[in-house]
Amino acid sequence: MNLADLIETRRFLGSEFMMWLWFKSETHDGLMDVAGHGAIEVVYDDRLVLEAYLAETERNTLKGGSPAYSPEAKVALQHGKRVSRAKLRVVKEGREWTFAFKAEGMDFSSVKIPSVLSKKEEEKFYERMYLLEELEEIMDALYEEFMMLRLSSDWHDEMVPAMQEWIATDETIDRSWYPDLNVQAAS
Amino acid sequence: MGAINGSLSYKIFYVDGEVQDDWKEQYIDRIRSNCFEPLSPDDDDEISEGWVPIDRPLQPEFDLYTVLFDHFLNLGFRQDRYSIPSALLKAHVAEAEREYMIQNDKEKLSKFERDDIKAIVKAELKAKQLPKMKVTDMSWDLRAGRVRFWSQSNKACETFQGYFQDTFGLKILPANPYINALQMEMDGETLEDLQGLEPTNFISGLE
Repeated sequence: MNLADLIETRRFLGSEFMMWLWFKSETHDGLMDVAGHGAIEVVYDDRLVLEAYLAETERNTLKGGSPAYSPEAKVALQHGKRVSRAKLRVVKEGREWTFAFKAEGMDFSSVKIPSVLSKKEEEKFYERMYLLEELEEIMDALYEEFMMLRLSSDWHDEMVPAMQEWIATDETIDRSWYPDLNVQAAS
Repeated sequence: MGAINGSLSYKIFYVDGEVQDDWKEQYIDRIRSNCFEPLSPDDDDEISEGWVPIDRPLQPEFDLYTVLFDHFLNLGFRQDRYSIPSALLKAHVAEAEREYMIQNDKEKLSKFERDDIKAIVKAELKAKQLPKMKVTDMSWDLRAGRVRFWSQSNKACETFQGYFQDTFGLKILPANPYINALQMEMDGETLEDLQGLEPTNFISGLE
């Protein structure tokens, strides 16, 4: 397979990453340890798009409130739909970023960064870039954690059954639903 | 815009390859030779694209001070395009052909004559309008080997990717689940596992 084919045929990993992140965020009440960053809050915010795998026309767009906790989102998951994009909120040391994240291209849109203090154009640029870099590093670390898990036997042995149960249930879930894994995030 | 002000919606590209030691002078020369050149109504080209300073899209003059912000190389990618509505062009061409046939006492035109008339009409219409201008910021983090391009349109990203490679001689790969996974350190066996992954079924009992 050439590079272009590998890129196209592995796009499903983006939505699987977002599904796992949703499950982890819900079981951990949004609070998780991210390698190299310490305790970070990662929550699904007020916009969520779910699509049927390989059938993008079958799409649910949920807006307002906390759509990730809505019965509509759960029904969509139960019908086999996956996250294609979502608005996420990341909080680190009291600083907050909100942004839309697209699974297929791992793209960041409409990023709201913590307040920029600099007034001079050049300093403002550096501050904006460093804040974007920090957000990208957090998302990269989370993706790395997901990929290590995805490439281990824990994915199919532990994580997928737990996520299947989460999708099937209407109960509120907590930390006990997240499996104890052998794979740990790199520190 | 985007890098300095405005919306933060962008596409990440990973630079494949190393920046050479003498990159400063070399890149400034390459940027200058790939800088934006304005369209002229008499040109056959209807599209022009090239680099402009990030905050001065009308002033294509470059030096290290205008492009280098510490370890970030910043540029605007300017794309200008003449856009003549096809119905308008067709109507003007038909009118010009009619006039030409009357003036030259002809009942039929050769392909050469028709093409010629069309080119003249197009140039006249182009002269009556200004091209549409679009400037998209790009910021290349030279330390991290990462480029941020302030557009997510597939077409714009593809054009940018090619233009970047032509200018700097370095390939850039767009962020996506596979390319992002390759940024992790991986041995040969893990890479094979990655390439062999199949989508997960999250619905128990469904195949």
